[in-house]
Amino acid sequence: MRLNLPTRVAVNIFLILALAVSLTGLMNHYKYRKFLSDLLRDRHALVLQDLAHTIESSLSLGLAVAALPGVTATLQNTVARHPDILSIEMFDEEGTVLYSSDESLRGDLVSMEWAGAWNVSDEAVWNRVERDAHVVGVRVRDNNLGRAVGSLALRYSRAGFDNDVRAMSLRVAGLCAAVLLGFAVVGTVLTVVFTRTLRQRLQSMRAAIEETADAAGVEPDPTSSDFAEAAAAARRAVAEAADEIRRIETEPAAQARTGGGQ
Amino acid sequence: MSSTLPREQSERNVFRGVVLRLAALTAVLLLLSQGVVSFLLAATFETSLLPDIRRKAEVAGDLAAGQIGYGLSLGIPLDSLVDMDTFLEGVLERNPDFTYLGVLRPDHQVLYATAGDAAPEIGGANSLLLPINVQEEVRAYLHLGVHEGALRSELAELRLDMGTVFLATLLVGIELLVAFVVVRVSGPIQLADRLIILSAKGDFLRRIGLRNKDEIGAFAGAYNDAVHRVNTEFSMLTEEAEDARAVQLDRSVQQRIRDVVTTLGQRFRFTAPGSEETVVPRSPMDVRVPLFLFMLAQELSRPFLPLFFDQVYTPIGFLSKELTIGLPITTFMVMVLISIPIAGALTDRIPPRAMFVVGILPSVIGHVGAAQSSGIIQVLVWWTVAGLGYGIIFISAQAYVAQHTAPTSRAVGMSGFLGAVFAAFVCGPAIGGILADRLGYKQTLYVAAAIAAFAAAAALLTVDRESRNGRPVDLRGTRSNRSWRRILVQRDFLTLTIFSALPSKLVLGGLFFYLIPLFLSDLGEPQSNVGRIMMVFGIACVVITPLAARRSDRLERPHVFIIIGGLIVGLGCLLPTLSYSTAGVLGAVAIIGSGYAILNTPQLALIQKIAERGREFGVGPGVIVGSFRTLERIGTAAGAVVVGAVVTFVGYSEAMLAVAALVVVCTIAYSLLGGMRGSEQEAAA
Repeated sequence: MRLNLPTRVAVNIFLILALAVSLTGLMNHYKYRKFLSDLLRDRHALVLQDLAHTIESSLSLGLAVAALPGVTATLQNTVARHPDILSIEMFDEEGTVLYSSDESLRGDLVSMEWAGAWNVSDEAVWNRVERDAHVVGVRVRDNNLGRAVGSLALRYSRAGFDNDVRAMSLRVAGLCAAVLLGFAVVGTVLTVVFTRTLRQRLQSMRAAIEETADAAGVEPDPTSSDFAEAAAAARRAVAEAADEIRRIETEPAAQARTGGGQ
Repeated sequence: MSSTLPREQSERNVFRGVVLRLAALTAVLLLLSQGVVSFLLAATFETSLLPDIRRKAEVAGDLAAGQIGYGLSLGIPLDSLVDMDTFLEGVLERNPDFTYLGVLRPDHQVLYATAGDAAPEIGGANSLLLPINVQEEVRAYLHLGVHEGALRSELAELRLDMGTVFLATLLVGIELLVAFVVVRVSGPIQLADRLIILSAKGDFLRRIGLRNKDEIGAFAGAYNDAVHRVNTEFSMLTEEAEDARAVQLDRSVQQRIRDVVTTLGQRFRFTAPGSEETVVPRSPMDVRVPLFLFMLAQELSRPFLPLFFDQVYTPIGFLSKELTIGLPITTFMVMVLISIPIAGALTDRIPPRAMFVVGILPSVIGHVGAAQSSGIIQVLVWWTVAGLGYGIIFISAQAYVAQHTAPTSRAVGMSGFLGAVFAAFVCGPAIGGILADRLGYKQTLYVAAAIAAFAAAAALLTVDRESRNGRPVDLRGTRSNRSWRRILVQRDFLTLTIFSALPSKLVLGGLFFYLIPLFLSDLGEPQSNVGRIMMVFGIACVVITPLAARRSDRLERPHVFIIIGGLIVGLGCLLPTLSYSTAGVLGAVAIIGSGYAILNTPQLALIQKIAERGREFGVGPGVIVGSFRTLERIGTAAGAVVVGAVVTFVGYSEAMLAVAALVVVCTIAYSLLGGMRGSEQEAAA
C-alpha cells in the first residue's frame, strides 16, 4: 500500500488517539453503567426499606415474624405500584419464604446465593445479579430480640437496565468515533504542516538525483547534487571510454591488421 | 569531514525538530480529544440518567409524603404536626440526592422546611412537587430540591483515571513516534546520506535496501536507479570492450582496449548491474516498539499480581499464606535467572527476530494459563513459564541492540533499550490498575497476553529477519567456578554486592513487586489507585536516574551516591510505620523510587570500575558484570519470599520497618567497609 510520510505519521497518531479515546470512552461507560445500576438498586432499596420499617414496627409490638398480618397484601400492592418489580419475598434465617407477592412461593426455600448474600453482607442492604433480574435485599431486625430475623428480597427486571446500557454503548462508541475522526483530521493536517521541512529535504534530494530540480522548482540538495554530478561524470566517462574503444577499433592499422587476419 | 559535521548537526536538528513538533502535537491532540469526549459523554449521560435520578427522588419523596399523609389521615391538622423539622432533616440525611425538603400548603405556602439550602423554584429542573393525599384529596405538597450535579460529581471522579490514561497514552505515543521517526525516517535518510557521500566519490557498489512506499522509498528508488544506470552503462561498455578485443588479433590493440576499461575502473568503483550490495538501514531502535509492548504487557499485572495470587490461594504444605503468594514472583525471577544464560548462548545461533517471536510464546502461554488457573500451584507453574519468556526477550533485545551498535555507541543504544523498559515501567502499572478495576484480574491478564502477542507481530514487522552484524556479543559472561572464586574474594565487589545491590534489589522484589500492592489493597485502595501509586516509582526512576547519573559522573564519587541512595531508600521504608495511610505508602513509594534511582547508576559505574581491573585478578570484565547482574537478580528473586516470610509474623508496616532496618544497616556497613575507603580514594583522585 502506497502511503506518503505524513499519512504514515498520521496513522501512528490516529492509533494513539484511538487507544486514548477508547480507554476514556470505556471508563466513562463503565461509570455510567455503575451509576445507573446503583441508582436502580438504591431506588428499589428505598421501597424495601419502607417495607422493612413497617414490618419492624409490627415486630416491635411483639408479633411473631411468621404471623404478621397484612404483609402479603402490602407486598402485592407494592409490586402492583412499580411495574419493573417482579416479586418481593420475605424469608427467615433458615431461608424459608414467609411472605411473598406471589403467594404460591410461601414455604419455599430461597436460593443458597440469597441466603449467603444476606449472611455475609456487612451492610443492611445486599444485592445480587441474576440472569434475568437484579436482586436487592434488606435485613429485617426484631428490636425486641436485638438481631436480624430475616430479610426482604426484591427482584426487579434487568431488561430496562440492559437496554439502556446497550443503547448507551452504541452512543458512546459513535461519539468516540466522531471525536476521533475529527481529531484525526486535525492531526493529519498538522502532520502535513509539521513534516514539511522533512519532505522538502527529501524532495530536494530526489530532485537533485533525478536532475529535475529546475523543473520541480526546488533547491537541489548539495550532497545529492554531488552524487548526481558523480553519476553523470561516471556515465560521461563510460561514454568517452566507449568512444575511445570505437576509435581504437577503427584506427587504420588496426583495421588493416584485422582485415589481414581475415 | 569538516563539511559533513555541520551537515550532520543540521540534519539532527531537523529530525529533532520534527520529533518534538509531532510529540507536542500528539500531546495536545490527546488532551483535547479526551477532554471533548469526557465533556460530551457527561452531557449525554446526564440527559439519559436524569429521568432515573428524578424517579428515585420521586420514590424517596413518595415514601416521605406517605408518612406525612398517614399522620394527616389520623386527623392531625397539617399545621400541628410535631417534630416535622427533625423528620425532614432525617429524610434529607438519608437521601444525599436531596438538597431541600419543604411541606407546602395546597396554596404553595411553606409550612415546614429544612435549614440550609434555599428552596428551588417550583417547576424548575432541580425540583419536585409531590402531592400529600388523604383519601384521594390533596392536603399538602412535599417540595423537594434535587442535587443538580450528582452525576457530574460522580463523573468527576474519573479525572484521576483520565489523567493516568493521558500520561500513559502520551508515553506510548511518544515511544511509537520516536521509534517510527528513527526507524522509518531518520535511519534511512542517514544511511542514504552515507551512501550518497560514498557514491559522490565514485563508488557505485551499493544500493539502498528500502521497500517503503513513501517519499523516502521514492528517493531510495531514484538513488538505486541512478546507481543501476551507471553500472548498466559500465557493464555494456565492458561487453563492448570484450567484443572489440575478441576480434582484435593485435595484442597491443587488445591491451589498449583493456587499458581504457581498467583506467575507468580505477577512477570509479562499478559492479555488475543487479549485484550491488543491498544495504538495509538497521538500528537498535528496531527492537524498541516490540520490546516496549512486551514490557507493557508484563507491567500491566504489576499492581494486582500478589492480590490475584491471594485470590487463587490454596494451602501448600506448611508454608504460610503470605509466603505462598510471594512464591510465583520468586519462581518467575528464578526462571529469568536460569533462562538468561541459556537464551544468551542461543542469540549467536538463532536470528534475533525468531528469538523474539519464540520468546514471546511462553509469556503469552504463561499469562493465559495464569488467568485460567484455579489454584496457587497452577499459577506458580504458569507464572514460571511466563518468566522463561521474560528472560528470552530481555536477552534477545539486549543482544539485538549490542549487535546493531558499534562498541563506542553501545551505551547510547542501551539507553534506548532501557528507555523502552522504563516507559513500560511507568505506564504499565497505571493502565493495568485501571483495567483490573473495570475488567477484573483474569481479563487484565488476557489483555496482557494479547499485548504480548501484538509485540510478536510488531517484531515480525520491525526486527530484521537475519540481521547479525558479524559482531557476536557475549552477554552471558560465562563464569566458571574458578572465576566465581576469584570474584568473590574481591572485597570491593563483595561489599558492593552484599551491602548495596542485594538490599536494593530485595526492596524492588519484596516491596515493590509484592508488599506495596497488598498494603494498598489492605488500606482499601481500588486497583486503579494502586496502579497510579506504583507508577510514581517508575516516574521517580525516569526523572531522577539521568540526573543522579550525570551528577555522579561529574563528581566522580559513586560511593557517596550509593550511600545517600541507600539511606533514602531506608527512610522511605520507614514512612508507613510513621503514617499508616495511603499518603504514607505513596510517600514511601516516591522516596524509595528516588533513592533507588540515585544509587542504581553509581552501582553500575562502580562495578564497571571493578570490571576494568578484573584482568589483574584473572577475570574478564564481562564475567564480573555478569556475576554482579546474577547476584542482583537473586536479590530480586528472594525479595518476595523473604518479605512474605516476615509478613507471616508481623503486619505490613512492621515488615517495611524491618526492610528499612536491613537497608540502613547494610548502607552503614557499606559506608564503613567499602564506601569510606572508596570515598577517600575518590577524594584523593
